[in-house]
Amino acid sequence: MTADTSWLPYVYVYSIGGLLYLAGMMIALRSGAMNLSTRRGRVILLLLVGGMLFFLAFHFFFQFVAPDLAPAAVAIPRLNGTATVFRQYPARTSTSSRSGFEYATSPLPCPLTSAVSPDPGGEPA
Amino acid sequence: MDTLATGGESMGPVYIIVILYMAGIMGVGLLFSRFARSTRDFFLAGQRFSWWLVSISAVASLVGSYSFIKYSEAAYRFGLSATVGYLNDWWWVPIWMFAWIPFIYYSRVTSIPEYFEKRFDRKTRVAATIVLLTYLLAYIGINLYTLGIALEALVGWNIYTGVIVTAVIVTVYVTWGGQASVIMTDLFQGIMLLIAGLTVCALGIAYLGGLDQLWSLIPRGHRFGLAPFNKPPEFNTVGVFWQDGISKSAAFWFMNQGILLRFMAAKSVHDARKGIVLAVLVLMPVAAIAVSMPGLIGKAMTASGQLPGDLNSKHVFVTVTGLVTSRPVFGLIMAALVAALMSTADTLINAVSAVFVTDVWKPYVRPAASDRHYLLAARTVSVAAAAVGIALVPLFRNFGTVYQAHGAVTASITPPMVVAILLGCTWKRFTPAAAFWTLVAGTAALFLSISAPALIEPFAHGVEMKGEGLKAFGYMRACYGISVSLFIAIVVTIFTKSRPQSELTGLVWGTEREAALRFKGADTGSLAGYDPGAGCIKQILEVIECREQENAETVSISPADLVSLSASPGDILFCSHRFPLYGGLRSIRVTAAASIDGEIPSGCIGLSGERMAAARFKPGQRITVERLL
Repeated sequence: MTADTSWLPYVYVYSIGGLLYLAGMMIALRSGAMNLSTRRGRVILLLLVGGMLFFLAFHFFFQFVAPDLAPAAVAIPRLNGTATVFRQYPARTSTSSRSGFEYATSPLPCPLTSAVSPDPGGEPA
Repeated sequence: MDTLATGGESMGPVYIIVILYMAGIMGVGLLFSRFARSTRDFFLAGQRFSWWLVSISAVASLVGSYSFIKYSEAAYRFGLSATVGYLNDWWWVPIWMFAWIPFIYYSRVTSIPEYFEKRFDRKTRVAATIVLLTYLLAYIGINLYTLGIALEALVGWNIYTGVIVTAVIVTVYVTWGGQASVIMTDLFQGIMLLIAGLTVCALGIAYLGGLDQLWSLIPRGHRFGLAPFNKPPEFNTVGVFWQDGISKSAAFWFMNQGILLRFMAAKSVHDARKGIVLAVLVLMPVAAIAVSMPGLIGKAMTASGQLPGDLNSKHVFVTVTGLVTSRPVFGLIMAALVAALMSTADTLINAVSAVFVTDVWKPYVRPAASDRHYLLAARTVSVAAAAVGIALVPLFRNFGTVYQAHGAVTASITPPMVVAILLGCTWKRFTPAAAFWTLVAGTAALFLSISAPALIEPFAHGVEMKGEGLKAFGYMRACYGISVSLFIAIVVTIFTKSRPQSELTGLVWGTEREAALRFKGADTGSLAGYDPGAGCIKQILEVIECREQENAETVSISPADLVSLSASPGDILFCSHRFPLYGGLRSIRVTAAASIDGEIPSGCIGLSGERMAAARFKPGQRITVERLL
């Protein structure tokens, strides 16, 4: 997803969702169910508006800012040779129908100590 | 079948922990069964629970059967956007809080179809009952099926063995405990599963070396909060929005009988509203992290080579958990997973019994039976609902994934009901005929789209058709169903006569005050001081002593204490144990009675023995009293 195309989901979701939200707010205010002359009414209004802003901000951040936030290079955690790690998953054994994970306490077989690209996978299919 | 049985380590302790946990949950349910003394207690738990307890219990049901497995799988395959299912409910909150909950609560209904009869007419209630029972029974089937899958992966049981064992456990405590048992067991389960999910997240992130490492290792395409607009067909923003954000969310919060019963069990409308805010604004985002993050951690582990690239995505939650936790912790987390699975099933079974007894048995089979009879009927239906759910499991096994089965049910059944509910509570002009035809013709249109999927294409937003029948156009059947149902509703409303406004009082938005008055009892006083914007007035007053009293429904209280409560005879008072963490479990709501001066001294309150027993008060105990309405 590029910066251009990432706008469409965001705008679409919050446009239609925003209409529903505004309809609900209108009902709350016009019916008098949310009485702004009382402290509790103002607190409820604050929560409703704040909640909407929270979700707007959350998705804005993760739609337009966070995807490109990443350190230049990351060292994969180095595990001790005695750590319990997967050696093979899933693994079947010939003696049990409940075969599954196989553990090892030996040093890791895969090169987990090298640095990798910050974006190893690219976009999903 | 790959299970968690390992070659080098015994899984015995894990199994023991899971079994003990399930037995413990059943024990908690049976423990609280003594609070169900009538059908009202059975379904609504006496309308006495605190907002936080109701909210956690509801979220426990939300984060139910499929969540850990389904959302971890989605996060693993599609990234952070998998969390959107838990973060796209906020726009419903104002309507839910102000146009739906107060009217359901105050109208004293115990099922959605009952509201339909009050708002529309009897035949619409029948149509709504059929649609709702179909939805709930199908939902039970899916949940039990998912239970079977989880236990199959966990302990290697045959799917049907897992389904039957868990169905029996859930049915036992729902059948005997009713809503109080469901709420209390869900409270424990909800806390457990959130702790479990967050523990896996924390340990997984630590295992990777920190958040920086996690974020760097996942592909860039996995970092977006929202999926691409209309691709791929399996997971795209427009499809998820209509199926999940609109249809499923509305169905869950407005139509799901189990969730509705939760909030109707709150001690007041104000508490129900606070519970809604807590659930959607706080608990659901936390739950989104708990259920989705293990999938992202799994993706990062795959990228780093710590997990194989060909990992079965369905197993990612269990795999990551097994990798980052010790055996005892793993056992506890798996127990929490099973608890989450059971949590949704118990809610749905309780909901089916509520709908069946209220909308079928009571009006059509045994209209004037005793309360004991209806309680027995509710318990019998709980068993039958579980049995039907088990019988439906083979049907759902035909779907490729649980997500597909769930999406197909949601998109194929809920849209007409969602439209009828929303217009019913927000549009006074909406006519009974329009509601009836929205349900009937809307459902027919949806079934037609199964055999003729091309009907969905104009609503597909460019989503690829991919598949036939129920699988065609994926989630876009929800958009089609909502649009067609809305069209039918508007057209029929234009050409038919609506009910007089006076008959809609207390049932549609703008009449909350009247609804509250009716709830309180029209002849017992005014609503002076009632502020709908603030919910029910609460004034914590002096702790007073309980005494025996003849009239079971009322409470005798001195005039001086009534003044201190800002209450009048006829007002509804809430008496509860002083320890707030009981959350209303030891409480009772009663009507203030005019007392003769001197009969009840100041600082004392007179409750009947029956009421005292229901609230588990003892003579001489000091309690908290507050004015609700």
